[in-house]
Amino acid sequence: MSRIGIIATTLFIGLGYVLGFERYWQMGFVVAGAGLLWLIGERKGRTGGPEVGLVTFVALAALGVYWGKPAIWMLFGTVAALVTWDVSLFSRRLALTGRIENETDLRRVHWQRLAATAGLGLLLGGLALGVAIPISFGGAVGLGLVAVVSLSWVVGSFRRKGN
Amino acid sequence: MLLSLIIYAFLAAGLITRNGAFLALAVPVIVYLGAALLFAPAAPQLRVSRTLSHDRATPEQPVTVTVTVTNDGASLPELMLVDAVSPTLHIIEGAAGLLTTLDSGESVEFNYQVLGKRGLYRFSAVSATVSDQFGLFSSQVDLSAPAQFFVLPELVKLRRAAIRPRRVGLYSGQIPARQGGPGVEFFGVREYQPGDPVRWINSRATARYPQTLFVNEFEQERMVDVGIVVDARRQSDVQVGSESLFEYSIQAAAALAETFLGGGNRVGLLLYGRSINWTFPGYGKVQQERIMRSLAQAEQGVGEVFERLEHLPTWLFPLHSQIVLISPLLPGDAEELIKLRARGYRVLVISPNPIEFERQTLPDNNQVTLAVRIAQAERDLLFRKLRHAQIRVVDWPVALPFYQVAHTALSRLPWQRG
Repeated sequence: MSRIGIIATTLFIGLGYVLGFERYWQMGFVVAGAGLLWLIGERKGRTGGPEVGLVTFVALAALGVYWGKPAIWMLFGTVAALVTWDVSLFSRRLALTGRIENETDLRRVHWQRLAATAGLGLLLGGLALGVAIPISFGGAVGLGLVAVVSLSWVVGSFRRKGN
Repeated sequence: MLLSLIIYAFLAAGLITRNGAFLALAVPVIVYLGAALLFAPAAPQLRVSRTLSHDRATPEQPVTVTVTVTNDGASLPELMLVDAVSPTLHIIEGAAGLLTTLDSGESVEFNYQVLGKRGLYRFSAVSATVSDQFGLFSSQVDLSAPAQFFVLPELVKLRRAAIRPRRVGLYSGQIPARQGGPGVEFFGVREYQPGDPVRWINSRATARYPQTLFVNEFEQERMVDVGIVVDARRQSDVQVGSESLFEYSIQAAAALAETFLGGGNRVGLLLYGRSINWTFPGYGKVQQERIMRSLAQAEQGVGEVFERLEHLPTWLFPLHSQIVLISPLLPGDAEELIKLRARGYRVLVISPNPIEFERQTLPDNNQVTLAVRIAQAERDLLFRKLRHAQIRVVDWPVALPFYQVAHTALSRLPWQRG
């Protein structure tokens, strides 16, 4: 399943670069190469492969947005990369376990939540692309800081609770 | 952590470039992280129980471990259970872990079969890791479920192990006591005393002296005290691959303990190695179980104090009792054994042959043959010294089964003085 995800991710971000053959369309080859490497890493079960793949494709998507490539393709690509990363880690978790009880339920619930999350992320991301709220630079910096601090606090508190 | 960094990077890129599309790219990641936070599991409230199919087993007998976990708290979307199994145990069937979902009030059970070498195996806790569906936030608890089982040494049945210490106990047994009385073997003739059974009357002796009645006397058979000493000094052991000569000593000790206890004797066990491990003497099946468990846990060790047999705690053994030493023997051991004999102990040495044991892995050439001959000559000399001091020595080439060697060497007593 993760292979389909890698191909989808590569296609979305690659199309974003190639469509229209505007400047930097050659980056499509880099994207294809990165996809191929991720596929090989996944096939060989390399440790850290999904993480490297996610970071690489998110960076390529960000670069595409920076160079003015169609953001919607980059958004699709980011979501596909996120889903692929999740599926890959989930498969590895299952493979590491000696025995799996209620495997069908486990997979079903996981897929349901992942599909809902990815769908909601895509929807909200798409909405965000279509909405433009004018904010001053200071306001943007302030909001950004609030986002960073609150996110750090939430994630940190959950980690402490987990430990 | 990775997702947080990606979000921070998108936010930073959006702020620096003042491009809202970066923030849009961050949205799916934020939603994903938010969903994981939303469904992050609470601290699990689990109960665990563990059962073992046996609390004692032989090395060929598999033990089934069954772990049951009950969820007393909220539903757990992803629960990973891992049982800590000793690395020396070999799982032959099933898995010592489980990944499952577990609703409130539900139970889950997993079992697996293990095989182990001689030893005591303890299970302590089952590790339970609860995580959200995306595996981002997890909470781990160790659930205490103690249990243990022994893998006892292989028990070889011996027909007989003849011993005859000078000191015998009060209770009847199977060891000739050098005292007249009820028994089986003829012991002597004495004058009739009121109460003697009529069938004991020796008619021939009585016919010679018509005015006196003579009766036959038989040799009483009593129980004796036997101290089994297992040499657990590392320097006396030989390792060949994964095999150790010490295991043969343990096997011999188990067989002899069973035989002596079966004869009604009082048997104690001393493991002489890094320290002194003493199983107090006792009788019967309970004592046999104690000894087997002690042998199951026996390990070799190096102790400077116990490098030689001179610190053998002889005060543990009643004077004139039988001591059985199971040891490959080191060159300096003869003197100490002779001292023991001089104190009045009957000493029997069962010596697994280290030369034959080690030779099986060595190449067959002239140098090895010569080395083996020299080593064997030294060993023969050591044995001769011991035998000269009235110490019984049984050389056991471990390629032969112990019962065969014991049948040849121990089924009857050699002639001995004193």
